[in-house]
Amino acid sequence: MSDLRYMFFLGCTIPYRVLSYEISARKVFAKLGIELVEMSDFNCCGLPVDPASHEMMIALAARNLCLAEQQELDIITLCTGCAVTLRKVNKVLKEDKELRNRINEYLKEVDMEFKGTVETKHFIHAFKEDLGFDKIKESIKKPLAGLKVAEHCGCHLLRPTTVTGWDDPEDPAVLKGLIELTGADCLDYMDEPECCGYTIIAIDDKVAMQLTREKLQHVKMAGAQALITVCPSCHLMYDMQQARIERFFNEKFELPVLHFPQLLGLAMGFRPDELALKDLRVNPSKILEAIKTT
Amino acid sequence: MDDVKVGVFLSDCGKQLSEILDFNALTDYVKSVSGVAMIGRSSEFWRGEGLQFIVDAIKGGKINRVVVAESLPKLSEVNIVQAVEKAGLNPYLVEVIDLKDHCAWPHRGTPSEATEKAKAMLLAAIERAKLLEPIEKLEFPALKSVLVIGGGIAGMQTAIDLADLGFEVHLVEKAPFLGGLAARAGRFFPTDDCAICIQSPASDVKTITHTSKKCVYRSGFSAIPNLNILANSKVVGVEGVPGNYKVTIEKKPRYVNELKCVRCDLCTTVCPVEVPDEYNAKLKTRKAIYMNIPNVHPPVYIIDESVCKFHDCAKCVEVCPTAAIELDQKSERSTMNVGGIIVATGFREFDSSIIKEYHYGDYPDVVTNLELARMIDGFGPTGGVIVRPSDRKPAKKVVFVQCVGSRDRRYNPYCSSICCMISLKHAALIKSAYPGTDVTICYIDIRTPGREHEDYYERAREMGIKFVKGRPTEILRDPETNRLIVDVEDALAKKFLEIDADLVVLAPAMVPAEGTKELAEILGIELDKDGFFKEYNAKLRPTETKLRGIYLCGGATFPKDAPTASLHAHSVAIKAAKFLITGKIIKDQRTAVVHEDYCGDCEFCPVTCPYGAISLEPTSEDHLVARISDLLCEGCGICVGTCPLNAIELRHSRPNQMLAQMKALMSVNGTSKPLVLVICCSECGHTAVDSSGMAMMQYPANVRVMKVPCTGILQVHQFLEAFKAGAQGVMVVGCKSDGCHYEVGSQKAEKKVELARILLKEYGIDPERLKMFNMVFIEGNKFAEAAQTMTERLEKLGSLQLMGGS
Amino acid sequence: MAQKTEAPKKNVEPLKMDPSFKYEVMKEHDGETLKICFQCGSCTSSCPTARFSDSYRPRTILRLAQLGIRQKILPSPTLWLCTACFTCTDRCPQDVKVASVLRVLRNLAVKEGQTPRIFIELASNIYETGYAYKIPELRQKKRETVGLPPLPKASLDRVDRLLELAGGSKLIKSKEAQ
Repeated sequence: MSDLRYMFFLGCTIPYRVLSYEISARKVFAKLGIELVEMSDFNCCGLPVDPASHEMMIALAARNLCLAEQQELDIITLCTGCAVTLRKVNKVLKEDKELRNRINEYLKEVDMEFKGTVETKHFIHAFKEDLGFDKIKESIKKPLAGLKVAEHCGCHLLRPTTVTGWDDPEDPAVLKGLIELTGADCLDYMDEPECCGYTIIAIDDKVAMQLTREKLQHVKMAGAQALITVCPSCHLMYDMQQARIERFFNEKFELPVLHFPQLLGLAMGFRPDELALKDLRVNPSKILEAIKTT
Repeated sequence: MDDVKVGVFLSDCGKQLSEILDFNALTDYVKSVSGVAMIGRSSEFWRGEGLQFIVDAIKGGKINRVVVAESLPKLSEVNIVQAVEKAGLNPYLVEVIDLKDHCAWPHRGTPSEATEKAKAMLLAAIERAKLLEPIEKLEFPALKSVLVIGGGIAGMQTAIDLADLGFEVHLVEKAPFLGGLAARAGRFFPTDDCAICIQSPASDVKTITHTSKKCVYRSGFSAIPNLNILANSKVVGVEGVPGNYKVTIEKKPRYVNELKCVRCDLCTTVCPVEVPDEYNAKLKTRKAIYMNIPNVHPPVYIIDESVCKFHDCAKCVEVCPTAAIELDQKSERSTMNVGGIIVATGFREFDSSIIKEYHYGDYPDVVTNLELARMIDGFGPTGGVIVRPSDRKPAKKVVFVQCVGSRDRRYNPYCSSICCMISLKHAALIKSAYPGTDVTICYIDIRTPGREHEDYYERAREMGIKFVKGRPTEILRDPETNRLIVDVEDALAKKFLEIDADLVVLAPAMVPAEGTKELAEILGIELDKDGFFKEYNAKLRPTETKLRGIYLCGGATFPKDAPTASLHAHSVAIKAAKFLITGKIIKDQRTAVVHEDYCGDCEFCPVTCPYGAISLEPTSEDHLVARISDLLCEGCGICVGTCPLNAIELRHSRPNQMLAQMKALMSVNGTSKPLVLVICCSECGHTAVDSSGMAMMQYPANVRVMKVPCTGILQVHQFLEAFKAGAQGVMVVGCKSDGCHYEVGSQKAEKKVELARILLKEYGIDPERLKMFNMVFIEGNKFAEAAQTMTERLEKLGSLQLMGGS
Repeated sequence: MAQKTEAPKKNVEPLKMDPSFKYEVMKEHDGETLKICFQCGSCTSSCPTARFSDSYRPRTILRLAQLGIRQKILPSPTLWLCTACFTCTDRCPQDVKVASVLRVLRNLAVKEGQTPRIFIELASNIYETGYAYKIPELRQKKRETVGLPPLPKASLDRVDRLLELAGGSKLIKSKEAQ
């Protein structure tokens, strides 16, 4: 759709723990002319319970799709998990007649019917496909020249390529391209597509932390000054858990982790306090100084 | 029709048949049929006295048509027909039927019904014989020259065989030098002998001086005058017919005169242009004017036109002592006429850079087996030392990764069959030259199928080469030390290994050579689902294609090792030689012919013919008609079945002949059951009936069988005619849909049967009376069951009442 | 005369194989590709968590599933270490949907009552609030102070009905059992 009006799917993690993401995103979207329509009704996208029951996930996701269909709006999300779940379920329900009939039987009992008329996009899809890189370039007021960052696109948007197919998992060009628009340097580092480990934090936190730690090590080795994320869960692992990982493994990272809207916001000329930067657990003051001097 | 005198000869197979069939009744019956001039009875007619009897009858002028009821006609017919020809009668005026496997054996429980059926079978044979016409054998010129496309190990060996047999052989190779892939291999498994033997072909011709038994370096190669080698050349067009193809070859310029170059090497010393040497895996450089290695054929330098400065430099021209360098050479096109074409284009390595996780092309220390082979070769760019391409330090830790792009549904689902042995060979050669090197092979399965291959694997393990069962997921590089890390799970030890490596060697899949698709189009031959050239039948015709005169050999059909490629090469030489050696191609005229007045130029038949035998040609009246080449026509009749105006007939299976058979088979019942007509193709369908009889499977005698070359010949109206002739049910039996011996015949027949069933329904006739079956020889039981089921179904449906018919 | 000896006691019981197990897996959505796995190990070497575990090996789990040795899979705690990063599915040369097959196995484990507590919690949270986490009142109030609109409220009766229909009640009620 060329008119930038979407139903805003907030998800569960952001309101729970990662308000800084929402705050910065809303500011940046408003400046770019993206209109977010609030949901009046809601439920979890279903991804957290998929390991226990695939059927539950499909039903929960389908309900959200119906809510958007009722509003005749495409969905935009900030969380990669919500994005891919709603997209995948949309695709599967459109293609598998038997499954669609079964789910519609459930939905009928709550006065809903899945029709398959809307699309779901993670905001970086929307930036690329609907807004366009040029529009974003125009909005850059203070290019972050000289800032070296690394990107973490996360697993859900990239794999499996047969379902997502929109970017190269070994070298995700879209997020890189977006970061470079801000003027910052997006560095390559070892094992870029590695997972953050959030999904199993409650199953075995030590294994999860080892994964998170590896990426922090690799990013640090490459010489990046910050890590950029596009998902609240990934952000939780790298930012909120960083101190715990430092203690547990007796290492120091001191690597600030920013949500992409925060990075973009800084380049667009927002003040750091407008972008909830102080809500970040790992102190970003070093980067803020680095960009001030340029 | 002039005076037709049919001789009918009944063989009772040593009295076996006369115990079931009443031969006296048969003889009486045959006597009553008009046109029958003579009847014979014997134990056998296909040889001995019986056959002589027939020959005498012909010579004595008593008969001019021959009908024989003999056992196993598919075998015995040949003897009979040959004798008939020798006796002076056209051999196509013979009809042999099988009263044993098609009558006595399957109906032995009902001998009187069997006898009645035998009467119908004999009547059908006689009526057909009366309508048979003499068919001539045609001669087409067959040039005793062959084009071999591809100068690798297979192409060269087959070219030599044919040249030694006296053929004129043109060997076309697209690279500037012969040898193909195997020449770069260095050594061959499992014997580890050197590949230099195949750099240029070895001839069997005994010259005055001693020639080597194997090694071509010391062969009398230049003593083969009728072998014309065209290197740096490609086939760009093929026209014509088998026995006489006109081939257009484009020869790219070498810029060096082949007759003048003396290989003094002065040119390379002055050439200012230096580029990475692709042949040597870019491990060294070469000049713009170059030769791959000292011992190649043709032994002439070549200039790489993409980097040479030509007249802006011309230093090489100045120094050349024989003025052999000709900077103004142009591409040349030449045409030649050949009798046959052999495709020997081989295969190449899959492009591993597509698999990004392995970083081939990205990390210089990740190489392929072919590149490693250049390092192992003592004459190679590193003098036999295994080095890391990035810093030229010796590689002390080498890791092989198998199945790169093989056994992988995303790229090439097949197993490339030789890569395990290639890696084992390389690993063993490295280990024996440098015992201190740490060598590991990561595999999914190790495949060692050939002779002494398993020994090779055992020796490799004894040498201390490590084997890890696991497919590596990624090759990482440590940015500080620049060393490679192979990330793999050892499935047997259930441990994760991050194998430290100096050099990682990929064993890529073997895929069809570049240009395969284009060449297949030029020649009009098929590729299989993996893109390799498809042989006509892997078991019995492994070097032929469906087009006569075009053959395949070597790795072009599927990756193979050197011994197998040699076998293939020698085998195809015989095939091509057989085809061309007499200088003529003899073919009988059991081919299709177009009645030009009826042809409506609809263009259906040229498209349907699987052999490209039909072309549209202008007539004097300024419109197009279809014309069928007697040389290319294979006699299937699919065009006959396709033509909407019935303008095509197949000689020896004309519509009137088929109708006469149908009517005759339905004329005598003798059972209380409804008559069923079975129309079989002569390839698979008819053999299914044979085998049911041979195994003495029982089915009722109301089932009558007739044969056509291919079920594709049948037209919708012929099914309706069968019902009018008295059939209550019709079964069509052809080859399996994907195995029709004429490519598409049985599929076409299925469509016609479907249409006919629709028509039957319109006429108020139950469409279940007409059914198509696909059977092969070993499915005789299926035939017997189908015949039984059809009979029962017809009994339930009741008798068919047709207006004006039976 | 030879003495009759008793058959030696077996120390290691051979594993029982249930040939119907693979069909159970294969009939679930995206479980069909279990049958073509040929044990190359690409999935396991690309798995980010397997490296940090002594016993979690996707390849082994698929092998056990193919052979029907369910008693080694379903009760296993390591089955739950998959982060659903899908690298295995991406790297598989035979197009086996490895991550999906593992998810089917987890779903089957839940059906047999082997559910890690976290999932019972998450399901109950959704049942009670519509959100996967219980978001405290304070945090909801905080939204106002930072200028964010209030959180959308889930129509619980509908969400709960939907969960029941999708078979969630067993999962949710098992929390009460604890």
